[in-house]
Amino acid sequence: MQISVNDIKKRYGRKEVLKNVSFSASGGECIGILGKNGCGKSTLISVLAGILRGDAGQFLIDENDVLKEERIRHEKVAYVPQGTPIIEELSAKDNLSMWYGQDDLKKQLESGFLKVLGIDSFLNVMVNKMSLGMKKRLSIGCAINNNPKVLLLDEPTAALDLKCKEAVYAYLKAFRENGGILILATHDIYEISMCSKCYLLKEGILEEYTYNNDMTDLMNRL
Amino acid sequence: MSTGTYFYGQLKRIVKLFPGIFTLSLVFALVIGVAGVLNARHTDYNKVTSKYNIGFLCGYDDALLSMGLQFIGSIDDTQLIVNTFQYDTEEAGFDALHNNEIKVLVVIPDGFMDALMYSDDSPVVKLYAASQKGITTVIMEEVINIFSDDMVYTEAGLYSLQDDMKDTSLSEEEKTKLNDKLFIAYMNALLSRGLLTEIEHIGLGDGMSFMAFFFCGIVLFYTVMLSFCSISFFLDSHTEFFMIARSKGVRPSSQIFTEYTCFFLANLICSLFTLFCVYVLFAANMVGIEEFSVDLFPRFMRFSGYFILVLIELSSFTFLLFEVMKGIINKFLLSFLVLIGFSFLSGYFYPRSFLPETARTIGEYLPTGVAYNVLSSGVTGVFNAKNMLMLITYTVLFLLIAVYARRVRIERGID
Repeated sequence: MQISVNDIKKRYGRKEVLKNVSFSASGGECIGILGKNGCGKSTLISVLAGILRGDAGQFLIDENDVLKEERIRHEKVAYVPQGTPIIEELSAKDNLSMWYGQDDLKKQLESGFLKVLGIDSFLNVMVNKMSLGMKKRLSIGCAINNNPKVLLLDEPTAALDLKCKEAVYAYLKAFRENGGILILATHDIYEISMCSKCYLLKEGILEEYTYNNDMTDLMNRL
Repeated sequence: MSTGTYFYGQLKRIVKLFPGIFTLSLVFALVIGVAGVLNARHTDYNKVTSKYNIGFLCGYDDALLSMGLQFIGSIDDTQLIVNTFQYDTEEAGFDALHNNEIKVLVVIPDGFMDALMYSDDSPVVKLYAASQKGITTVIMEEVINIFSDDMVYTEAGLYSLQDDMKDTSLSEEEKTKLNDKLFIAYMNALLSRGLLTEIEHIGLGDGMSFMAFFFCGIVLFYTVMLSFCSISFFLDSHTEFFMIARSKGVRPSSQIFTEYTCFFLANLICSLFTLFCVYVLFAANMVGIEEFSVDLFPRFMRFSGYFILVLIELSSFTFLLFEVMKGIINKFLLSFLVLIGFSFLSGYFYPRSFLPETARTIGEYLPTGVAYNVLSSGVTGVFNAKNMLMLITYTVLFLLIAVYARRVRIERGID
């Protein structure tokens, strides 16, 4: 599988947030989008997820522009926003029921990605009684209901403890091993080191960046 | 995720919240119901009068003048619209006018009665009105005219009689007796004036009996405030959830439609239960309104039908308020204030016909005012197509704006 993001543009009023943003990736790759706060990382992820309408550009998955073909995008792309996109008054199971069919949910909980995320251990807990880590894992679990090929994550492990991070990373690793493509907007050093390709987003321009464990260099480039 | 599963999730959510919503709505209905009934029972609106305070500044040497003033405030039908106050000095009269103790000050100049006697129209009564031109001035002028007419006719009659008796051989004593006789005849005529008409106050408020007006006002206020009982539905809704749903193909329009449906259903169940309780009280004759005194069941059903239409509109209005006020500090307080203001202008607390013209016009076209018009049609049975059309237009408009607001909220990540 191949994805190609071509010349994505996005403007808020006079401010051009994304200027001809382009990159590509193959199955199993992890793309890291780096940049300081407010540089447009979340905007880029939102445009690719179809939440925001870009002013121009393409997001090709195997030659299909999923920005135009919504049906294919819903099948192949999953998006996990920064917060917790789940319903507080319901249990984990109730939330998952909104996204999965009954049989599929059972299967995923027994041996699928939901098991990898450890959601089976808090299935009947109400969301408003959950820790942030549980909520985050549940959010990812809800987002990946369609067995996506491309996963868009906006700071997926921000504010999580090490144990929760481990569960999330285990899932991300398994996802890549199954040929999925990860696109991460992140500030986390471990996540950056996980990426096969990194890009720096600065003043709307995306440029390739090779992270060589030098934080000072990264700080200077941001 | 499909619109169906999104709806299922929202429905499940409102079901979980429903016990709290229902309890809160019952408590609220009980509080305003009891307050409304107590208020209505302890207020006899047929006895409530709206009177103007009128001040007179004049000398009281003339018996006729004093008597005429007394008539205006006590015996004549004008007693129903005026309270009279008498002042000895100009300063006292104008002070009262400035202090809003009286609406108008009538200054009767010296020599006024003599001028009447000799048909001289030079000294005129001056009327100082505290307010702007309009109903007060006109009514007061009418009152003065009544007073003047009484005086003029009485004085003119006596004067004519005296004139006719000049050349007669009658003694002064006989002349005085005849004068007194005529004067008493005038007085009797004046006293009997009040008996010519019998006034019955039906007590209407915006075309309904006062009790029906009260009933409508309470029901509408309850409906508006019912949304606050469902506030928990809006408290924990995160924009991220709408974003992820959008990314899975549930458009803002589908999100709003399904959420509104759940919100409306919760409001509907709560309010129908309350209406059922009200019906039981009506049927048991514990409370009631004139309009439903016969054929209670069909009329109450008609009212309930109109009520559901009103609920659809008011729910869409409050839904929109809670949707657009996301991200605003004290958004619920702001929504509450908006709704209270709208309710007042729309005549929920006080008949709209009592409000100033501008407020009345605004109130009539506000969404809450249109709801009032439609619900009062449910009481009177008079169908008004214009109101119904406005109700539908408002509902559609509110939901469309809510969809737009949701789209903006998703795109900007407002939470």
